[in-house]
Amino acid sequence: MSEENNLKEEMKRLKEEMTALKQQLQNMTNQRTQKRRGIYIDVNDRLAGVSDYINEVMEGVTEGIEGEIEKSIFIHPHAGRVKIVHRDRADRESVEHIEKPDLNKAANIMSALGQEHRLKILQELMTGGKYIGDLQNALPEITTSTLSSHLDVLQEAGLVVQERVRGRYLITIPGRMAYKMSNMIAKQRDRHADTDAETEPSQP
Amino acid sequence: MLLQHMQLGTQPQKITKGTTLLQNEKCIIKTAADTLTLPILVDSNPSGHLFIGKGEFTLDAIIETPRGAIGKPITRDLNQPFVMLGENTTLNQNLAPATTQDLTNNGYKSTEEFLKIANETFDQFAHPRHGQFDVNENTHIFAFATEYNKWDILVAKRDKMVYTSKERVYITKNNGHSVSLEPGSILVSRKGKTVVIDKGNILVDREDP
Repeated sequence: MSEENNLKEEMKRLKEEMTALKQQLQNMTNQRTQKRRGIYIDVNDRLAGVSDYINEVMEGVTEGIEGEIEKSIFIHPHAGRVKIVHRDRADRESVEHIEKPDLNKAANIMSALGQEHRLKILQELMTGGKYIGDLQNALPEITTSTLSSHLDVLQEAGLVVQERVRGRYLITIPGRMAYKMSNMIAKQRDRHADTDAETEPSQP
Repeated sequence: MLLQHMQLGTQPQKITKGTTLLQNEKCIIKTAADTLTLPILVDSNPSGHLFIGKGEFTLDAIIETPRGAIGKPITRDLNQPFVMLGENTTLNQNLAPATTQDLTNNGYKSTEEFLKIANETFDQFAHPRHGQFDVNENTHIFAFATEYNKWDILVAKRDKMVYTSKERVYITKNNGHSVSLEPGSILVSRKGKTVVIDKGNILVDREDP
């Protein structure tokens, strides 16, 4: 019970910190819109002040939560109250939120995943951002033009994003989820296939 | 030096070849050849430039988190006037006095017309604002005109950057600390720890699952 209270207190603190962040954003927006008074541009304030403040917030938030939470949690408004749900439970409960999925978008993502080379590209990107040359070295069986074409498809589906300045390719949050999901489905299929083989009556 | 004390020079110049005004791991700002420019002066000392012509701005407003990358690159053609406060030695080497023909090629009938429009534009940027700015090689402020009297602003100090526009605020430091604020979404990332508030959901992550 005390653990739950502690957790609630931490969440309350987290909420307050985030409210402060929102307030700061609002203040910046207000400054922009106040034409007569104008924006106060001060390099040191902008860089040191804002980022130091954010750092302080992060320090407090992460240190406070570390003692209470092993990995991660979801919080979402529920019947006017904040409800704290562990991640695995959140995944189960989130089913109610996907009653009307965007099937067209889902089909596009599944289409992007439906190619072994593209899954290999995602697999490579799971370990971190890669330049096109890194991907070519890691996947020599894919020609350069085909690799570029696959990367275009993955970017179009929102599974990969490319930095314009450095040129690295990065896997996005949906990209990681999609890759993991495809692996999970493949494993489940194998498991059921094994089970079916075991229960299948032997031929005389 | 105070922004209110800044004023434009009176001798139009043109950029003789494409010049990179700022480049780091996240951002690149270029201006094209034949772009017209006027020096920004404080007590007769150059402290920046107003550009009217063409250029390109790219900012990778992407934050890497243990769960994947969030955000997207921001790219825009700089067809509207933009301001750079700060020194740039490469730019100084690529400047030449603008001729009447150069002004005509950019759509201005005379030097007077160009100066009038340039000063009106600069007044929209500088005079409603308060603040001070120390000119040096490492610190730059860029302001990109959007609509009338609306400016997107980028402050860059080496690899530290703050970008504010109507749609978002993006802050990044070279040690991987990043903040992204968009309508309905806040993301703070530091030392592999991430807090995301997105449309009523809060996600706290502290390590790669």
